Amino acid sequence: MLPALLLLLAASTSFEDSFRAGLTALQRGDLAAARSNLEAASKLAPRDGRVWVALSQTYWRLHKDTEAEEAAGKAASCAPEDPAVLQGLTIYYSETHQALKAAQAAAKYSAKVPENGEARERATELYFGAAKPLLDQQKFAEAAVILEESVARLPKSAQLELALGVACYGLRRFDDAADAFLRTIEIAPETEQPYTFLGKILDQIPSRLPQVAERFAAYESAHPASATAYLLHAKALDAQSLSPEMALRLIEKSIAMNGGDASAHFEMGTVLDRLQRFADAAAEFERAAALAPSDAAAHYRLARDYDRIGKHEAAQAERDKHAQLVKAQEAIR
Amino acid sequence: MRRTVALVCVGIAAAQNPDFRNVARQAGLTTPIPNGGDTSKQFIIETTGSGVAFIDYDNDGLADIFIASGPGSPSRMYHNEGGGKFRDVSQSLGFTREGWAQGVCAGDYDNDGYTDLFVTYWGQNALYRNVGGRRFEDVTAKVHLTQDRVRYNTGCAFIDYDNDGKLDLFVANYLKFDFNTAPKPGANPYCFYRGLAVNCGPRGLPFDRNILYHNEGGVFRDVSDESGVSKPDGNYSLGVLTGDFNGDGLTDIYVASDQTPSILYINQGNGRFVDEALIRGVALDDDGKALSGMGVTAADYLHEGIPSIFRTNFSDELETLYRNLGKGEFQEVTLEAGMGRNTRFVGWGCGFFDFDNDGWPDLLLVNGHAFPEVDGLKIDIHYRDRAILYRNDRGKFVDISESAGPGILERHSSRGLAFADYDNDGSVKALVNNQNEPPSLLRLASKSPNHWIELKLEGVKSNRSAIGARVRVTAGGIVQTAEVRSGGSYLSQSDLRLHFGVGGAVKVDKVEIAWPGGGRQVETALAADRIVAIRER
Repeated sequence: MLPALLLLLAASTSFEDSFRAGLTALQRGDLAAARSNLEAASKLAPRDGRVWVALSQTYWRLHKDTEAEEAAGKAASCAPEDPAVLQGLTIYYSETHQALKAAQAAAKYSAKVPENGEARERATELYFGAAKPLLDQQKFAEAAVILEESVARLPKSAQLELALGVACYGLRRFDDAADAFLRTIEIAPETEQPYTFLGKILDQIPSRLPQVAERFAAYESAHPASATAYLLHAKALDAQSLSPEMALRLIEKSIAMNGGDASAHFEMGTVLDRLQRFADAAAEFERAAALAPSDAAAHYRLARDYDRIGKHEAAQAERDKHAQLVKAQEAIR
Repeated sequence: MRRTVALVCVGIAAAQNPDFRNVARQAGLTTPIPNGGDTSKQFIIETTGSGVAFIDYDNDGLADIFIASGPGSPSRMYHNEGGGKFRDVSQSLGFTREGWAQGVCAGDYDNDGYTDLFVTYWGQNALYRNVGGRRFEDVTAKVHLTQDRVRYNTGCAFIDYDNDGKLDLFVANYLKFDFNTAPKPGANPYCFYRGLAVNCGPRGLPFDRNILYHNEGGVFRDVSDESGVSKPDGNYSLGVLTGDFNGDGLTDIYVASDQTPSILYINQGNGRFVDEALIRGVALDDDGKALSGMGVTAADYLHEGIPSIFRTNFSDELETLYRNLGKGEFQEVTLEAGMGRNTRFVGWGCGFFDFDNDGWPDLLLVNGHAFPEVDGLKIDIHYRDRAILYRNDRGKFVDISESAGPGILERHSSRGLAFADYDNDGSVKALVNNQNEPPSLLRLASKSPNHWIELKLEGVKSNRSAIGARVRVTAGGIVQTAEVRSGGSYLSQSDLRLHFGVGGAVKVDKVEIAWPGGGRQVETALAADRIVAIRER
């Protein structure tokens, strides 16, 4: 913090000696001298934000938290647009673990120095750091407020948009979540996470499906070796009840690349069920169940298809497995 | 095999967004219906009440209104005075009992020509015999329907399961509940919702069994064990729907179950029922998960001649549409049918009704969360919420709730829902029981120009209410089917008359009736836009 504060010495004349002496004392760790000099300077120029931000640091080191907060508040109100003060406040709030205030100060500073990529990166990290503990604690409403503010102040941040999408998802604001994930893709089309999240909420975002399918198709084209990309594209088509044959082809490609993905076989079974190809669907659910034997859904769907093709004993066996798995899961809950 | 009838309809008025208004106040329905806490509920019993009914108790041709109530008020009967007005006649008719009334179902159990009323309670149920349309007599004990212990009775339906012309009675039971022993909010892991301490259950509370009473001519006998109805023993039963789901001429029973597999009692024809919900695909969702079934309804929504089943569920779950593929084999088609997006609602009452008389049954759901405390979470799930209206666009459902008028958008914590054309103008209205508020009475500001017919059936060899009669109506190139049902929706009773929208057709070519007693009857060339009484020949 101190090198930054030394920069604050630029123009003052009436209180410069006190201010300089205070900063120097603060730098060498003589907190008593720093305090007396900076307090003297603040009396000479009570509207000078630079003094208050230095005082906030001094008070904090003296464990006078209330005074430190007051000083920081005065710094912010006296010089809300001063880049140096904003930079100092960022550091003060970071050191005092006030993540959101640090992020807000950092974002304001970043806006003052748009050419400074590091400042923007720092602000982004601070906003993310403020929201992440809330996301981890599933306090999605509070996280969403912070992240909405963050993307307004720091547009085009894939990290913040992705986090906002997660918060909205947690709040069941599915359209908002989809929009955030789509913006994330626009900013960072190579990042896989937004595609994966969108893949989980397809049923909930019918109005966004055409756009999502378009993005998934582009992702699939750009990643011809990605099993996930083919599967996601197929899911987007299936969610719109569109082109089941194309969805099948895409899933086949996905399975060809990664035959060990139970979810791909499950999806294949689902599409085949829709096409009333029950024997083929049963074969896919058999594979899904073999790959993920604890997946109750695969056993249930398999039982349904066995019944449809007249294999009633096998169907009953699958129903029994399903019932056992459900019971075991309820016991865990 | 799927049976798709491809027919051309002519002259049907173009689809317009409806304008539903809540006219309860103007109609005289102004009394709030108490049902447990309004900002917090300590016990699950406060969450499940109550149902509503449209019944024409005095046979004046105008559907009257019954509203089941929690403690703090007796359940209420309102007489239809004509002109869209209702008058509270509860006291004079004998409805004075207070308690945890839950469900209501209607049927003429003694075949005297007056529709009787059965009301379920946590506690003792009540069978109210309709005495000449002048008063109701509580005959519960007299007809041997007194229960030997306190039970949490919920959905009910009169059903002539053996087609002997006398209405039997099915009663669903939710769980075993006792105020003295029930855990308090937060007491165990089943007493939390999204981190909030809330009333406990149903998980963690003991199951109870459903009941079937056989009408022995004047008295009822509990045949739950010998019929197999008591066999399913791991279900929290709520809404009840009857119907011939496998087309064998016998009435089956579907029970929406909360957090447990729903039940489909298939009538074996020998006095026995077997739960075949799992193998027929209506117990669980398409991924094999038991949802929180609340209300249930059925309709031939695709004009295939067979009833499909729709069920309301809890928030974070899809509502469920099970398409009947024939012979009672079902496939969940919720998403394909255009539903599934409304996962923020806890759904209760539901019903197919053709609000625009285009011949395609539309679907209304009423909602409201179980936990008032949920409002503190500040998420999109609310204790009081709006209804959902789906327009049936030739077999695909389109959510038109946001543009269907203020009556649909009003927020309540709704439970029961029933339908009737209470002023006989050809437009079906909806009655909704709202917890701790007056009921809603939803009607269109202006009715559709499409045509309609309403059938009032009277059994002779069959039970007089004609419950279980299946009707096939051919008009305007469309063939529709429906069934006279007791109970349904969420613990509610709709008018026993059957309403069919017939689009541009000014006459109905053919009405075919399969009476529950086995008789077949055909009426032809009936003029539309009228109520037609048909007596069993």
